[in-house]
Amino acid sequence: MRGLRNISCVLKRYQTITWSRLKCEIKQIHCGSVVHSKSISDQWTRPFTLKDPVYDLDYLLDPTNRDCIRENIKHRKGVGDIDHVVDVYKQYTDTDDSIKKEKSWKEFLKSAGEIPNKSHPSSPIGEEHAAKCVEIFGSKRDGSKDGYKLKTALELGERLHQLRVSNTFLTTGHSTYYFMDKLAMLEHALVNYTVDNLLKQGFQLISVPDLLNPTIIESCGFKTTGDVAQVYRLDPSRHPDVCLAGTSEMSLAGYLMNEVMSTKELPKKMAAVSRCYRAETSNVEQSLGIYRVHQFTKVEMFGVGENDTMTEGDTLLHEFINIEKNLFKQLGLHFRILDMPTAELGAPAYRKFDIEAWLPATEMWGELSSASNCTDYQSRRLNIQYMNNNGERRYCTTVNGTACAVPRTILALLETHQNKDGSIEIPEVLQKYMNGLEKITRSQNLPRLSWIKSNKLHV
Amino acid sequence: MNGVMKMMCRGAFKTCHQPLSYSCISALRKNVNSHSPNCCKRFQSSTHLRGSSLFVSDRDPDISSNFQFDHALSASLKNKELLKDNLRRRGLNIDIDRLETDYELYLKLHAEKERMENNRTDIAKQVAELITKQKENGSECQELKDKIKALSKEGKAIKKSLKEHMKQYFDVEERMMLTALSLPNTISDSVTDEMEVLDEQFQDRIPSYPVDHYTVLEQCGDVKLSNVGTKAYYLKGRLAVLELELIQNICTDLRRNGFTELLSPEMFKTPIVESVGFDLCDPSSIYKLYNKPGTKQKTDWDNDLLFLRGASPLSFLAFFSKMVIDNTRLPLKMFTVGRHYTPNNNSDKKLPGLFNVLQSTKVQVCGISSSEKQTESLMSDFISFLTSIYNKYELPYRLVKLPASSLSLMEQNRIELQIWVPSICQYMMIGSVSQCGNYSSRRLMIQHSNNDKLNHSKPVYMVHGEIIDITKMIGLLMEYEQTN
Repeated sequence: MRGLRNISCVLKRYQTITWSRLKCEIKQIHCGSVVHSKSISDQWTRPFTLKDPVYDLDYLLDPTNRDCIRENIKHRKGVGDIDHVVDVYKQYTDTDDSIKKEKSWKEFLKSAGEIPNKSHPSSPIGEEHAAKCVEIFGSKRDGSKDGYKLKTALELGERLHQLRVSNTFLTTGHSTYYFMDKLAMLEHALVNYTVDNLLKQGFQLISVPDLLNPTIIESCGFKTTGDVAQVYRLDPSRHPDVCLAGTSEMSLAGYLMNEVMSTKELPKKMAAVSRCYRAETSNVEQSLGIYRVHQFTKVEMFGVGENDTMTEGDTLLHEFINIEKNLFKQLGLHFRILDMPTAELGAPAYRKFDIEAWLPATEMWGELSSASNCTDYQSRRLNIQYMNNNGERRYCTTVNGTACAVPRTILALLETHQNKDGSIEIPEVLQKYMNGLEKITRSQNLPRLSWIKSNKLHV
Repeated sequence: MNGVMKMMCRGAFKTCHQPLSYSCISALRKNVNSHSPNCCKRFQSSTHLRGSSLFVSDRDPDISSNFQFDHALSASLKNKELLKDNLRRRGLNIDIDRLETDYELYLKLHAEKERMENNRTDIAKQVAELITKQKENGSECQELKDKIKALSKEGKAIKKSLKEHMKQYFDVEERMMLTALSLPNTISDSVTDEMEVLDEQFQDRIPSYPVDHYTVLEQCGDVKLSNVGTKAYYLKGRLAVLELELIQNICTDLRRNGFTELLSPEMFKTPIVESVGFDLCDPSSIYKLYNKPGTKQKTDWDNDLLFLRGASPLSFLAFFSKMVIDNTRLPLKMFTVGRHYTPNNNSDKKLPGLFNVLQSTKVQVCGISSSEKQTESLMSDFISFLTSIYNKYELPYRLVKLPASSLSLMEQNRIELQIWVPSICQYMMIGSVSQCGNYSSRRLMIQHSNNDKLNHSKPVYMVHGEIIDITKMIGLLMEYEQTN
């Protein structure tokens, strides 16, 4: 690490660096062996290859599990047909014709891939309303006690001249936004605050690519084609067929693709700050400004563990939830932790906990973060393995959690910490990341702008 | 021909005012993929024209542009020789004589159009007055009736002539406007046809022996090159932390120097992309997003297409589009930081590894002013800020003024800060400052005024700058530490 020490010296000379961060012990051993120079540049020329997913056939094809799997599918979104999977597998094993065999194998992979992960026995069964609240922190801010009507984040941000969601359709499209001046600084402050916390907890920070092969995204459990797809794609008639990552969970899973780790390296905890791109919109939520947007910054936690006892994921999951709790508590937010019901788990999650913050002006609970234990769902598709103490190769457990989704957190901070005059109190933990600033007031740094409605300059 | 191809040809007829040659039509027919760049280029070369989201003729009332292009042709054509010289120095081939003829013809046709419309309005007014008079009289006066009939006949004749007239008017206007849109910016007086080195620093730090970039990456151990995407890379551990530190460091400096931060979306619609002179038909210029299933995509210059770029001049242009800015607060200095994406264009095969990736993090600045004088002051402010940043690293760099032939369509002048790269033994751009005048603002209706009113507003002048490409900087710092 000689080179890096010297880079640090370069920056230290000008006292531009926060030493605490660089001194942080990074406990995780680097993944994989050091790649020799002959092959490091080959990584880009090597074609993308991923083996076929290896599903747990012992479990899927065992007739004693049939009812349980059917029941699980019913409790989730109803996608998947285990009887079809079994039939196609039988066709595959019964035929000797190589062409028919290949066709049935492809069909088997497709239909087995649709079977969702198992559900944790404690996960509530049902739709969104069945979510179980397991903990609440803080208390509701009562606007009537303040003596004035609380303003929404949108109103506050616009009055401060530091948030813009209006008149974006012609230039950047619906559901896009701008942060200016101190709100832009707040975005960086939240990211730095979160990363500092995670580094202290032994996470390894990784800077990730955003343009990914669609196979990686599908292997994480997200659809890239069809009407329900929430993923942006480049125009394949002009560019390579790649998609924009909706979360760095996809890129981090891609980082570990085809790796075989030793138990000494596990559990591995990684964090990434990335720009997330999501194509979905909701007409209802459009009025909420920055609640559901197409592009946003997020700090994500991604954990990889062993899967010998099937409980290692639970340990990691609860560790992630505790980290999220701590982060949001220090921000002075009122929030609750929900044990999510089966219909809200999506295909990959075995168990999921969401954290929702109370938005006192909008008077609703808004999702701030989500943490999921995906057991071996993703690792079987992305070939992420470890060697256990018996020398057996097994598929890892993967766990992911949102440490900070910036726009939603800013939304919650604005509404929770607003003053009567429209200024915003900055939580103490963030002040050092805002150059000591204690309050956000109306920006004087931008000139008045008037929107030109007409399509003509001169009529 | 399939439906999309039919629309393409219809589009082609609209934008091309000479009849399309048979070879062009058959080329369009042969090309099954109507969005292939080859199709656009063939079309472009045969007619010198292509459509634009920045100007759409009023010929078809169902489609229009959301922007009005302030062509400023009267000023540009005043000194035709200077304009021709500009094109020659930039290596562009545009028929200025034809443009001038079209412009003069357009002015005549416009005047005639106004005259006919006024005439028609006048007649309509007279008819209305006569009808009122007739009603007042209460009896049917033959004289009045005849007058009304005669005027109505005259009115109809004018309407018919006007319709005929408008055919030629629309054709000439469109040809003129699309050609005007393709014109480059003027060239600043101080720009020559050779690159000029303005300053060199830390030349004694140029390493005496070369370094292998990939060996450096390997020995560092914190870089993973991957094929999860084209030229994908991961920075791990302390390099990832360094990335955040560099961003924080530069943002702090920018705020201290009076820059205001703006965080913008990364995707932009066609007019914004066109306003900086990107060639939409060239896939290596900018990433285009795939439309969601069911969206009708007609041409490459539809208003609703989305392009992915990230932190760039587009970030500021999108924000200020169609705005009247209060000019008592100008000049304005802003910055943005974020992801930047660029397609693989193989233009610089020499640059290895981290110097030639498709995704990086950049810090960009933008200055907005209301006069040339303010622009000059912004230029020198940005250049001194740029050099103050790189003086800290004590790496061998030079400040160069680029020749006219290296300027983009939008640029009047471009100063680059280039650092010596040990692995390739040449200088590489790490930062730049470009004087862009009112090129984009005339396309996107970015105006300034002292009273919010559109009437007396004028287009703003802009200066764009790139302060740092974080990935390139990390690559450089690693190479230099290796040489130590």
